[in-house]
Amino acid sequence: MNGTGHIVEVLAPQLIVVLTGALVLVADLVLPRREGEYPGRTWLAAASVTGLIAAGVAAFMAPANTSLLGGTLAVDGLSRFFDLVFIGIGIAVIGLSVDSVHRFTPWVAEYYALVLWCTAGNMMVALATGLFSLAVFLQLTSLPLIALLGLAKNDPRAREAALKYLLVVLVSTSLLLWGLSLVFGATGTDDMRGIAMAAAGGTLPALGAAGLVFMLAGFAFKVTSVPFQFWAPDVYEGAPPAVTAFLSVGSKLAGFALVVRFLALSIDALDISLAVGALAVASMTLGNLGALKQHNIRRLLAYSGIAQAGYILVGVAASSVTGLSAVLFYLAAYAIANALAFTVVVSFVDATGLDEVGDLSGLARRNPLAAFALAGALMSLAGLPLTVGFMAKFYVFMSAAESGLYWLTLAAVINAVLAFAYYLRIVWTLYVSDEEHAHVSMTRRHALVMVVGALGVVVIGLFPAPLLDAAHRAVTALIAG
Amino acid sequence: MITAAHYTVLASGLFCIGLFGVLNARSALRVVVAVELMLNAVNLNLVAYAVTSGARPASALAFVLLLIVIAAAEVGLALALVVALSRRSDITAIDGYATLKG
Amino acid sequence: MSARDVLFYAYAALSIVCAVGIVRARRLVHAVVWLFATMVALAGIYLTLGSELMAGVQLFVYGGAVTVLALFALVLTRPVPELPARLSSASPWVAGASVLLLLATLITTTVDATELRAGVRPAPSTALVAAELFGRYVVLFEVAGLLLTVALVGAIIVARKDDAS
Repeated sequence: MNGTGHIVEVLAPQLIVVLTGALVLVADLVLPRREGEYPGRTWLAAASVTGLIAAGVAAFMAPANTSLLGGTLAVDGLSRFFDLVFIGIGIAVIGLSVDSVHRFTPWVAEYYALVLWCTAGNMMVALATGLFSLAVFLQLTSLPLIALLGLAKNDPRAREAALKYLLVVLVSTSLLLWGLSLVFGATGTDDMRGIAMAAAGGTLPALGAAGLVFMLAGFAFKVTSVPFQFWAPDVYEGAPPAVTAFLSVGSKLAGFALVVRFLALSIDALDISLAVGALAVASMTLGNLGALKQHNIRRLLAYSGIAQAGYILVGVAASSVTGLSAVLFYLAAYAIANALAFTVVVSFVDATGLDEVGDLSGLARRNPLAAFALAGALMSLAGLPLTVGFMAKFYVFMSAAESGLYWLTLAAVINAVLAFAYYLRIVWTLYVSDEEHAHVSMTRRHALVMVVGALGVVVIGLFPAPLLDAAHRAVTALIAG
Repeated sequence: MITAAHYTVLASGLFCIGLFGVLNARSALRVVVAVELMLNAVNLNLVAYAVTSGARPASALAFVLLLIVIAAAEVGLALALVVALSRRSDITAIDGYATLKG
Repeated sequence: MSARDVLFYAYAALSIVCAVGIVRARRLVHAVVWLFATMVALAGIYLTLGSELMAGVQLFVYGGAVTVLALFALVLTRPVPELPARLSSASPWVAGASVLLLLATLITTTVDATELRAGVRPAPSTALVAAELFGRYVVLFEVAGLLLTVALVGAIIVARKDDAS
C-alpha cells in the first residue's frame, strides 16, 4: 500500500509547482511596496521560475514507472515527457510576462500563482489513467485560465474574451462529463485500460460509443480542433498577449496529453482512424482557409493553431506506435515554435501596442533579432526544411502513410502547402518592405526567450534523434506496460 | 422494476433540456443556469450507475461528491466574472460581442 | 408497483416539469427558482436510489449554496435587457429539433443497453465513500481544494480589479 511519504515523493514535481504558487501569493503580502512602485514583482517572477526549475529537477529524480492510488495515476515516461514540456512552457510564459504583466493587471502575484497552478494542472492531466482523475485535473487546467483572462483591467476586448472562454468552458465541461457518465455506465469502470478492454472484443456497447463522442467535444475544445474550435480566434485576439501565448500552447498540449495516453492504452481495441482522420482534415482545412484571410496576427495564429491541431490529429489517426511518437515530437516542436512566435508578438505589442500583420512590415530592419525569431517560428510552423517543424510534419505524415491512410497523408500535404501562403506572407512582410518605420525596442528577457526558442527550432531541427527517441521510448513503455 | 435505464432516460431528458437552454440562452447567466441542469443530469447518471451496476459503487459516489465541489467552484467563478463584467457594460447579454467577430 | 417505483415516477415527472420551467421562464429570477425546485426534486430521486448522503449533499450544495449564489449574481447585475440574440445562430426551432433528435437517440440507446438492466442495490455506506475519498482519491480531494482556492482568488481579482492600485 502507498504511504503518504511515497505519494509525496512520486508527485514531488506537481507538488512543488502548486506550493510555489501559494508561496508567491504569500510573498506578495510581505514584499515592500512604495508609492506606485513595486520592486518585488521581479522577485515573484524569479521565485516562480525557480520553483518550476526545481520541479523539473524533481521530475528527473522521481522514481519512474510507478502507479499510484489503486492505479488511478501513473508516473512514467509519458508523464515525465509532459512534465518537462509543461515546465518549459511555464518558464517561457513567465519570462515573457515579467516586463508587461503589471501594465495590464494590478494582480501580479495572482497572475503568477494562476499560471503556476494551471501548469500543475497540465502536468497532472498527463498522469491520469482514470476518467475520474482526468475530469478533476482538466478543471485545474481551465479554471485558472478563466481567472487569467478575467484579470485584464479596463479592456473591453479582454472582457469579452473572458466571457466567451468561460461559456465555452462551461458547455464543453458538461458535455465531457455527460460522456464520461455514459462511458462509466456502459463499462462499469472509469479506468482507461478497463474501458479499452471492454472495447477490445468489439463489445463496446453503443452507450459507451455515444459517451466517447460526447467526451470528444471536451477534448476538441482543449486542443481547438473541429467541432469545438470556433472560440479560439476571438479569445486569442481579445486576451492579453501573454495569456494568449499560454493558452495556445499549454492548454492545447494538455488536451493532447490525455489523448495520447488514452489512445496508447486502447491502441489495439478501438478503431478510430476514420473518425479522427475526418476531424483532422476538417481542422486543417478550416484553420488554413480561415488563416488566409486574417489581418490580425493573433487571429491568424489562432487559425494557424486550429490547423496545427489538425496536423497533430493526423498522427493520432495513424494510431500506431510510430504515430503516437510522432505526435509527441510534433507537440514539442509546436510548443517551441508557437511559444517563440508569441514571444515576438508579445514583445511587439508591448513596444508598439499594434497587432496587425501590416504593422510588422520591415521588422527585419527595425529589430533584426525579433524578425529572425518570428521568421524562424513561422517557417517551423509551416514545416520548411532545416526547422524542427519540418521533421515533425515529416514524421506525422509518414506515420499516417505507414498505417495505410494515404488519403489522410495526401490531405495533410495539400494543407501544409496551402499554409505556406500565409506563413510566408508574414515572413515576406518582415523582410521585404521599403517603408521607413521607427526602431522597435525590446527587453533583455524577451531577447533571451527568443534566442533560446530560435536555437531550439534550429538545433532540434538538425538533430531530431534524441527527442524522437525519448518520445518513442515513452510510447512503447506505455503500450507494453 | 426500476432499473438503471429508467434513471438514464430521466437524466437524458434533463441533460437535453439543459442543452436546449444553453443553445437558446439570451444572457450569460442563463447559460450558467442551464449548465447547472446539465451537470445535475451527469450526477444523477453517476449515482444511478454506482448503486446499480458499478463495480466500485463507493468510488463513483466519492467522485460525485468531488464533482459537486468542482461544479460549485466553477459556477462561483463564473458568476463572479459575469457580475464583474456586467458592472462595466451590458455584455451579460451574449449579443454584446460587437467587437469580436465569430 | 412498489412505493419506491411510485416515488420515482412522481419525482421524475416533477423534475422534468421544473426543468422545462427553467428554459421557459421569461424572467431570469423565475428560472433560478425553477432550478431550485429541480434540485429538490433530484434530491428526492437520490432518496429512491437509497442514497441519503447524496440527497443531503444535493440539498445543501445545489439547493442551498448554488441557487443562493445565482440569486446574488442576479441581484448584483444590472437589469440586463435580454435581447433576442442567442448563443447559437440557429433558430430555437432548429435547436429544439436537433436536441429532440439527440434525446431520441439517447433514449433508444439507453433502452437497448443490456448493461443498464440492473436494479437498485443498497447504496454503499457513508463510511465506505469516505474511505474512497480519502484513500484512492486523496489526490483528487486535494486538487478539489486547490480548485476552490483558484475560484476564490479568481473571483476576488475579477470582482475587485478596478479598486486596486
